Amino acid sequence: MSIKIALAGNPNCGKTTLFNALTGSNQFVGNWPGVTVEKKEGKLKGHKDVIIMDLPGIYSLSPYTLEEVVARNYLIGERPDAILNIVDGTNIERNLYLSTQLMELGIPVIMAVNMMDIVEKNGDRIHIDRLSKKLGCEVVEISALKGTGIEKAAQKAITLANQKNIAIPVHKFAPEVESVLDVVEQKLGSDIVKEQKRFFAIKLLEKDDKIQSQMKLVPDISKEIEQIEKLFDDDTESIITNERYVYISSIIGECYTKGRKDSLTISDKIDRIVTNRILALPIFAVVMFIVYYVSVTTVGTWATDWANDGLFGEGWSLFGLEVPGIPILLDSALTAIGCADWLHGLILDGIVAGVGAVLGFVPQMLVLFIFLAFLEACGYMARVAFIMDRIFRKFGLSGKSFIPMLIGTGCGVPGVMASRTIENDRDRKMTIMTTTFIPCGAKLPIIALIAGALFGGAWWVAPSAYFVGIAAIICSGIILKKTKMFAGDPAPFVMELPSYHMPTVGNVLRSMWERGWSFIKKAGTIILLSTIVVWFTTFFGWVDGQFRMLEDMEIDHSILASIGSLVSWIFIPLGWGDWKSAVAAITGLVAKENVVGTFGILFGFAEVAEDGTEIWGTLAGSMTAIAAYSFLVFNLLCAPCFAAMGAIKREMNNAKWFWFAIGYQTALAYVVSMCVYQFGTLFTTGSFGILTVVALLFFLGFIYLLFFLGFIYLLFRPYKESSSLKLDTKNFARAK
Amino acid sequence: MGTIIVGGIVLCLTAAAIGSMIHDKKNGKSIQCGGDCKHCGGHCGQ
Amino acid sequence: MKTLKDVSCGETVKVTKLTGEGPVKRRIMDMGITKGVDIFVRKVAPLGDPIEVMVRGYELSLRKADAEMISVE
Repeated sequence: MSIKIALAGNPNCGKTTLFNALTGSNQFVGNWPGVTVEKKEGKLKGHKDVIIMDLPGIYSLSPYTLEEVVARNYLIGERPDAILNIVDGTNIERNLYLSTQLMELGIPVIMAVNMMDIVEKNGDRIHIDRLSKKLGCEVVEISALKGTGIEKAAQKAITLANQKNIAIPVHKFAPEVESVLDVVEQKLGSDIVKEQKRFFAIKLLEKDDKIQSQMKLVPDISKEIEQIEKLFDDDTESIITNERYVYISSIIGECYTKGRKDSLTISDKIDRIVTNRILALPIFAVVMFIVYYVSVTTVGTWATDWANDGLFGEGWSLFGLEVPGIPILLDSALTAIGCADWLHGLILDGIVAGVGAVLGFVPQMLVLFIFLAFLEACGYMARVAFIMDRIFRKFGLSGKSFIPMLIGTGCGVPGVMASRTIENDRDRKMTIMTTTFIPCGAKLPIIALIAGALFGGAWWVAPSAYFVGIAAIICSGIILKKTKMFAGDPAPFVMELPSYHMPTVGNVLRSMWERGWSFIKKAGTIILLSTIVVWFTTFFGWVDGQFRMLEDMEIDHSILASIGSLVSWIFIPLGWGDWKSAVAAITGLVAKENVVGTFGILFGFAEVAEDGTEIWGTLAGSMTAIAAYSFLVFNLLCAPCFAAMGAIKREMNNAKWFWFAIGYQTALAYVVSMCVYQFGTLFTTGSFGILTVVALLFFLGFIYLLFFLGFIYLLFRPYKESSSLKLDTKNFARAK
Repeated sequence: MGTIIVGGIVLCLTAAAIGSMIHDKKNGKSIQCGGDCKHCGGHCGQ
Repeated sequence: MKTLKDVSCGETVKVTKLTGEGPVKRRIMDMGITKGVDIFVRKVAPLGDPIEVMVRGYELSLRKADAEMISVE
């Protein structure tokens, strides 16, 4: 029989590092439908029958955040054979708070005090023997990063699980609380097993309605609650929380000896500069600028040029040796082997042109991923949330919304998923809806393509794309905040600021490689298949009533052209109503890089490259600069790729909200692109038509939503700092 | 002859691509970022 | 009554009571701000809000609106 061991602990306590160390390469990543927060599962290295379960990082087993509810539902409902409670040794006091709750679940618990290497370096001491006695469970010292002690911890957990040695909480609350708990325990129904009685008694006393709904029989304990609330002059939930910390405070002195007294750590010194009142914002701006300037413009362009013009172009020189590009090599090989024309076309004009156009951007992306991995791992993200909270709150978002957005520059899927750390439901929904406005890694090729083809590689195109994304988020925040769905008071913002630490080179490279590899893999799977479909539908069609393969000049008769023409009229007001652009935008729904791949096939980049002429020249000939920018804006803002839509659907967990999000994104993209094109054309050529009027109306409507409605709103209902989480829609409706 | 060989290779590649996508899907991975995520699970910041 | 919001940077105060209710209060308490604990106010964010405090040996940031719920002395 297999054993299940759950890893539980605070966020940022090194749980994931331990999970990776324990399971090694032997992983199986599972996705459970129905829950929006997934648990990760892996087999313990060297033990086929031991399954390690990684739960989301939580501070408490309260019913208020998604992650906490998922974690505790798992622990109560599925009952793992043992809990491995990871405790951050450098922050032991608060970490033990969760431990006191885990001890009550009636499951064998073993505690692993992590980051012992740092504790020792700081000159602190943790007396694990005393800790073990005071908490009533086995305690081991580990360092997940260095890999010390983890095997011992795993071994002990297995032993414990086999013995079914259920943890019996040693910690006691005040006598008054204990006596009430005894009474409640007596009243519990027989459906609750003995070892879980204390847990359910406490939850009942805390008035936890999520637990109550899971119980068959809910005893009436209102009298007990009233009695104890009177006695302590506080609500029961707070009394219990208080009692836990009182117990921890009473034992911490014995178990933990601090070495040096209050000297400034390196982390404090860094923080003094990085979150300095004057320097914080400029530092943040510089960091952001460096990240995107380097990855998009300097190193990125250099690498991408090599990949596009050299590797997938005419060739490149290696120490003076001319190496021909892949298309040329393949071309001669295919000709030599005597391959049929259609296959020759499929490989060169389809697969190589499409997949190659996408793969060319890999170096650029790897550079971006290195930066992101570093920023995520070093602890700066939390500081950014701290610095930006004030600004984001003005737009109905929280400082924490910035983290999903920053992650979203790599890929929207983890970006959307990272929104889970936002406790407030409204903030979270708003963040999910707006995160994909930020250009993700896969949109980078589109930006680079438009910048290169139509703006001569102008430096401002890439930053402007990010600016458009940020502006879309801000405007959406302002507008949506005024709708009934999002109206209400700002939610609380309570967040831990973890110590800075230098990420290991291995960690950064692994993160870069993982994201980069999935990008490459995508090019080899979904993009490859798309290019084959696009190539086939492009080069086959009916000419004079006869279905056959088409010449380069005849692709206007292709299957794809007829499909594209059906929808392309929608985009006429946006300035790119030809079927090629419409088709490209639609294939972008499969994956955003596909836009570039499709263009690669439709405009025959590989062929042009062979002639040595400007690669993007043909594209430039078919679009004006303003139409191209409008195309760019539309693709940046409209519904993201299917994978990201799937993530939005999962996280929203509600079909109505999902369609609202997708519809809103697409409508916004349409309106903004239309304004860009119509006004752009008006200013450059002076042409004024009925569409310009429509765009003007849209624009005015937008401005109205943005400012005027807000003005009325502010007039009647001034911005209020609030402490409540409740939605106050009634008041809002009245004010309007 | 060349057509058959090259055609076979392309077919194999396509089959492998579809196979690997199905495999990933079964393992609950998203195609997009390779994730749900082996190491980050959306908690990349942590 | 003095609340955490009124405390200036560099001061250490003791929590006397927590007002408010529900999720926000629970979250604040879960993070270790309970009756009798010492809080050191480390700094204020560049735009005046939120604040960064040191409690139970770690750094926590919270908004002034939430800090107002914490009575101190």
